[in-house]
Amino acid sequence: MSKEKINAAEIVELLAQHAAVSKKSADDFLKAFITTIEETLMSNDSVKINGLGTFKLQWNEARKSVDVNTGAEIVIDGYYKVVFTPDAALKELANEPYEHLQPVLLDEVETAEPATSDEITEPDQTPLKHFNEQADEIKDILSEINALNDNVEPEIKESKKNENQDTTVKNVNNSHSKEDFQPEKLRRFPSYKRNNNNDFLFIGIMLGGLLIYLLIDFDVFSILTKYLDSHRFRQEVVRYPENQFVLPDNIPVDTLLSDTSLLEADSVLQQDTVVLQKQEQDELQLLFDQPRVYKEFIATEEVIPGSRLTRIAERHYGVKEFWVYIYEANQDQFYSPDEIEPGMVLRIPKLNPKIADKNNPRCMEYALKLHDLYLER
Amino acid sequence: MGDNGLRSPDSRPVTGDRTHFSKISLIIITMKHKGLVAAVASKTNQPENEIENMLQATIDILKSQLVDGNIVNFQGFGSFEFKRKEERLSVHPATKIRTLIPPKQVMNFRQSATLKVKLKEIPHHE
Repeated sequence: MSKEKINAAEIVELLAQHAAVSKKSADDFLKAFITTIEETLMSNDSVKINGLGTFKLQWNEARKSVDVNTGAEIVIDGYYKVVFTPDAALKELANEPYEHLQPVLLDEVETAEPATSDEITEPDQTPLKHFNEQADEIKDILSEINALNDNVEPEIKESKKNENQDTTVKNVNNSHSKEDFQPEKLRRFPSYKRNNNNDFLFIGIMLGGLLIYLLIDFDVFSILTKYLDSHRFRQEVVRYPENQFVLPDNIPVDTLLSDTSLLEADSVLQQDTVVLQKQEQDELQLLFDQPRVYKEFIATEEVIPGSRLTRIAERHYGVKEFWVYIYEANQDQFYSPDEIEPGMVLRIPKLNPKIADKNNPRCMEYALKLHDLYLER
Repeated sequence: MGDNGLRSPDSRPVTGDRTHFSKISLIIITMKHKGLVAAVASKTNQPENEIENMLQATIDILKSQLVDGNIVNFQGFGSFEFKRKEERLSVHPATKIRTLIPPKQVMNFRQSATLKVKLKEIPHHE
């Protein structure tokens, strides 16, 4: 590409046309323009022109060099040089023909090099190539199977048989076949299981719903408790005959009208349940107030990153609120219950079933109380 | 613009002293576009807006000539040219990742020999 040199005279001509001025004024302007830049630079200022760039002086340090002809050492004096820095617009304009090009990363270098080394060792392992072809065939068959999605197992067996025919490359073959088939199996079986689980879950929910409905409808709860309490009452009446003399004030009219023995039994039954409940509660309170000593442990667990006391409690007791007991049992390891650290080995205590009764609201209440107590500390 | 008081002809270092660059950059007063227009206007005794107009035209012409692939030469000052830089392979020294840098064109200004001689007369600033 030969480049044409445009000199100042031609620029003047173009300028006169372009700006619609006389040649003389254009010439004057250009001369003044150049000399102004020159003078400004001479006084060590830089000149900035909008839409073009900046002219600046650059000091080049004096340096030692060698005369190419004589080999003698010479010193090149330091000197100033005019440097021109184009502004962004001009830079873009200059690079317009190539602006679509982007740097290309060639970091396949590492992967390419092992490949070449493989090729070097290839000649010794020609059966491997042969096998690779076979593996490709198997892969093709597999993809076909996937498409059809039936009669999977027999065909896989067939292809396995095919592989086994070539005994020389058996080992490699097997490894490859494993690679090929494993994802297949993994994909197939979990889905199967999941379906089953879903079915069971659905049936379970249905049965549960039905049961709850029946219970509510037939008032089974009250019947059961009545039965149980009357049973208990019969035993206790013998022990505490004085219960019979205590009669509650608000006895329903219906019961008054009915058989007197029944009335007696019923009223005492009510009273008795109250007493029993009180006893139970007091017992619980006593248990709660007792200092808990953990001697038996059902498990030990190492804390992994991301685990929480509540999660561990949920896993072992089914109730996350009972983490407080785990905390109590391992208090020597904790500074605060919040600071659970990976690597800690927690002992999971065996809990008194009376205290850790998730169906008893008092137990839950107590656990929550403990929760508040420990978190406040 | 030019402040002669800043010059000190005797203190011209021969050995490399890097610190003087920062000092210079503090001294340099950049002549901006407007200042240039004003200076040219005062020289040619023409109104500033006309000079501004002509300067813009000059820049446009210069650009169009350069885009056409020509070298624009101002006698006694220097020449402007678009130069093509060939594509090259760069290797990141730390990661050893090779990158193919595409070819590009850059603006190039080459000062004229006469300007170089003139510049030699300027003593070095400390």
